[in-house]
Amino acid sequence: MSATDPASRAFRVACAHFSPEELEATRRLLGLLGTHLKRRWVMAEAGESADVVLLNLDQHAPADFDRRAALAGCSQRPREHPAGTLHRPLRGYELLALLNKEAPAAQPAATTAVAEAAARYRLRCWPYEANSWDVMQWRIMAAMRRTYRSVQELAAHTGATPDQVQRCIDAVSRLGALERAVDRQPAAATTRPAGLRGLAVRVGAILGFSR
Amino acid sequence: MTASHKLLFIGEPGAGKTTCIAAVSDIPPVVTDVDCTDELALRKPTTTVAFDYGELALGGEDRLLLYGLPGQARFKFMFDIVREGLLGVVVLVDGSTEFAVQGLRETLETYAGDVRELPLVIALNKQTAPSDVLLRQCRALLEQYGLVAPIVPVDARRRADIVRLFELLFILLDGEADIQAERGSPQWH
Repeated sequence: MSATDPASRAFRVACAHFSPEELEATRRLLGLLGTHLKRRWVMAEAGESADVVLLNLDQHAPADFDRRAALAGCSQRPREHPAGTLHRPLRGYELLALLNKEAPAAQPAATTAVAEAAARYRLRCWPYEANSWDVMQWRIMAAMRRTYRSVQELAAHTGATPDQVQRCIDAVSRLGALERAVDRQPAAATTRPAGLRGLAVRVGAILGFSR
Repeated sequence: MTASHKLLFIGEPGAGKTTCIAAVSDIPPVVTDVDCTDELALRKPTTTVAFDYGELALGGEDRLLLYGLPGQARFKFMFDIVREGLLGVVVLVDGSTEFAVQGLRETLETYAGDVRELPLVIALNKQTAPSDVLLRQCRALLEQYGLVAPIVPVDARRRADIVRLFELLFILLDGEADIQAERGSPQWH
């Protein structure tokens, strides 16, 4: 078997927004679970790609992680987050179930990257937490309020960078307010009527909000 | 060329429609209030029986027309009067009463089909810090009627809060401009 064969290679877990103590505890937990895991799992070292990213949802700062990896949230209050959120600190049986589920599904990075590029997003609901977000995030959410759009389409529609769009998508997703689809046709090209922006600018100038 | 665009405020009696319009209108709002003769008199002395009306001058002869419609089904016929050229809708909820969710339910039951394809904001009036329970109930109602809309606490007496509603409406409008263009309405000038 080749070294890259999914059946033989070690799968990697990365942790986002974990304290050093939690990282060490996760590393030890992986060792303890080793004989019960269907595949070999190790902690991803700095700079390495990961197959699964464990994201600490109790930290609200934007996370920088491998977008091609499967994402699993964990929180001290998992019931306040979407179904599937793990307890934090991690519980062995939950991590075991997650990794045994994700290993067979883990694909070479190129395959998952293609799938991610084809993904389109639409709001399931407008999260209340977004009331305190900035105007650009509102624009991104507004553009996917009723239409499935990809990251690239959202960026083109709103003028945001793909990174800004991705961070917004991640934030909305963590709140369980996003639907994702990979089999949607591209959204129609934006043909924004020129008069609309002019109207918004005029109303904004009169009432005092910037457009 | 003169252009008129419309924004609509819908809500139960006492939700704050007249106050919202007064906060930004250039003219004193035209109101159709009469004395309450039923149990509503316990909550407010008068109520709107037709629609409220205000205007915001946009320069030249262009105007943004502001309408307030009662949320009850018996006033539904008036929606057809304001439908043409409607840019967006604010559904107002009196968040201070125990009937808040009931009022929102009645409004959505009456208007959900008409507002689904329009920029829509739910304004929780008289409630600057809504409870989780109230927010969950409002969100569940929106999902039940297939609507995706921001839920924003406001004090309708504060112009800044109403301006924020306008800003959100125009962001929503911009976000789906291509959908609106395909639909062919409203007309942009």
